[in-house]
Amino acid sequence: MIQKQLWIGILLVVIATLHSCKKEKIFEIEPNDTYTQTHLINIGTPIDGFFNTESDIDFYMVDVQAPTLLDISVSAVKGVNSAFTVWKATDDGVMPLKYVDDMRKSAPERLRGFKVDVGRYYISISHGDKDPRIKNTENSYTLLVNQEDPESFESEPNDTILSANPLTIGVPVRGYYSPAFNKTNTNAVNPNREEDWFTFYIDQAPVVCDIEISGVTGIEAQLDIVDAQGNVLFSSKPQGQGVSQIAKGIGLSVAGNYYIMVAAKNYAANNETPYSLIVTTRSYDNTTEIEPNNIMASATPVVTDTIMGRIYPDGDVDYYKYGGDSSEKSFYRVEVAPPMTLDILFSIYTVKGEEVYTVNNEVTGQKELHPNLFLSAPFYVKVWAKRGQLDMDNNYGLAIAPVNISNLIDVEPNDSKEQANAVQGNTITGYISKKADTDYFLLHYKGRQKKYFLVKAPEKIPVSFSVTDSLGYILQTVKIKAGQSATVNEIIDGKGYCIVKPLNDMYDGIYTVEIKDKP
Amino acid sequence: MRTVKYFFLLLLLVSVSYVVSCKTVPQYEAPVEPVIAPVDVTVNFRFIAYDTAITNPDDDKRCYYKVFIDKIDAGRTTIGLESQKKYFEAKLSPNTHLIVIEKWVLDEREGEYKKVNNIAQPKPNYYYFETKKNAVTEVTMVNDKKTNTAQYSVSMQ
Repeated sequence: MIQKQLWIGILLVVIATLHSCKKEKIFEIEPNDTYTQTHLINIGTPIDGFFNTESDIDFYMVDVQAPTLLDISVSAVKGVNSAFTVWKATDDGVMPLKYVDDMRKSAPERLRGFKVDVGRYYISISHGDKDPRIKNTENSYTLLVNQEDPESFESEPNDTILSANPLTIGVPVRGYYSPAFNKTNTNAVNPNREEDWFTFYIDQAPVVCDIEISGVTGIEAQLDIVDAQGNVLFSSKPQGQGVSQIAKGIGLSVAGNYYIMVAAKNYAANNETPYSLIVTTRSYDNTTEIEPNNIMASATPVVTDTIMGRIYPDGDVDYYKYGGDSSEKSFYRVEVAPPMTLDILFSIYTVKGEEVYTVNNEVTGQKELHPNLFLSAPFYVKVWAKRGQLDMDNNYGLAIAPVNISNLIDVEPNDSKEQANAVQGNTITGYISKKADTDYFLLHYKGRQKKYFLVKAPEKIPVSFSVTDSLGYILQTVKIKAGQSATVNEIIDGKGYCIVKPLNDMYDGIYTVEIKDKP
Repeated sequence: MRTVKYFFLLLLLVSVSYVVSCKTVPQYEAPVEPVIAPVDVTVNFRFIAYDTAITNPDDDKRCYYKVFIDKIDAGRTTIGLESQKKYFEAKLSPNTHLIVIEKWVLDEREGEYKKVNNIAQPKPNYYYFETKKNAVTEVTMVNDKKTNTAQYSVSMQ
């Protein structure tokens, strides 16, 4: 009997203990429809509330005692598209800092990494704009405000270039892709995009800077770099979700402020993992490209024998300007040696922007070159890689050198009789400039003349040599082994052509043709 | 004694006649390659060739004749339609010479001249002619394209 009473007593004690442990829910106190009617909530303590009417707004007040990073979340309410706004108390009333609305029904809202200083803040919970406003007095929402260590975090709101957070070069800063939308962003191209803006100052120019933003799960990051005039110096290309974005070798030619914009594509958000952004600079020594050099107007000047560049990100195009101000055309050798990962191409443009030549002879990892580019300086070289190829870590090298070979008259393109190079003297020196390069040379003599052509083939390239009639029809052809010579005689009826063709796939070889009146 | 005397006299006569006869043998001359005459060089030989019996312009091909003189490649005629006169000129030593011709026709598809099959070459493809120092020997070859029969005529100017 006593034992039975003891058991009942223990049971009662356990029930009483459990009952006392049950957390009491704290509910909003209506009316709290304006910031003047609100009540204080504690950081770390959840509070529940209802959408009592179709136009219900619930204000809550938070007092921040020390600079901190707020994590504000509002749980989902069935059938309701909720939203919240963070306000800061000012002498004149309140000022909205951030509006958070992911534009989804029955979905939670969260703003993480919201840096606040000491002061009073308000949080107003309301209906979102997208869906019809409905009341729900059966299911409450829960508002929870937590705080985190604000050290090295972004400071929201930094949604515009005017509110950009200052960065220290070499010191990483973190931030969240949170929230998903920014209703105040009315940019026509990317409306409602949540953007984080940062700024850094360059006191000595020129310098080259590298900017890296770490990858975050589920986020395809967008990284833009903008100068003080609003010119976009760099805009990242899509790299996929969870992948870092890197702007490498961005040239900053003027001292002053520069800006960085970080955003998530497709209104994605990640409230769990912050991104890390770091800016580093290095002095410019003329041996590397200056990004952005994706257009002719921002071409990197070439002042050294070789200049290094990278194909990054995917689709990167690098323009270089070979200097000088010469009205006379000269021969130049242009070479691009890629890393083993890239199938590189390059094109040559005149100063007027006319494309002269595109070089694409080789495959991945192989050097591309033009041994006898003939034009006046300055000219432009555009370097890029086959679609989908990039290499963040390894450079290609672009080398440009004048070519001084006497009697070099092989001006490409001279692949047809219409493009034939006129022969002035008695010697032709030419290059097999590319795979299957055909060179036409035009002969002009007074009357009929019998000529003897002593042809010497390049060291490693067998060639065929043809002489044509005045219309370009071949009269005779001889094949000459690599490194060897042969003599051809033919009558030129006032006008004719010489044609030199390689007989294998090799190129970059010099041949000569001596034209004589006697054997 | 008398017989011996006559024998020595006869031997002397034979020896003298032999020496005299050796002196009159023409000296050998190495073949001289014909000189293709630039405009300012006087020539003494001209070869003219053309075809007849061409009834369809499509059959009137662009062609030339390769010219061998004294079995040496001397060059070629000018280029023209088969029906057109094509010329070759040279400065030759005064002598009898042999001209052999070889017809080459343009293969438009290939963009080059190709030697006409032996069957379709003019027949005969050779002719002997005389040249003099101060006159121009003109050899004209008229080829009937239907029969590939060539007729040669020569004139001295």
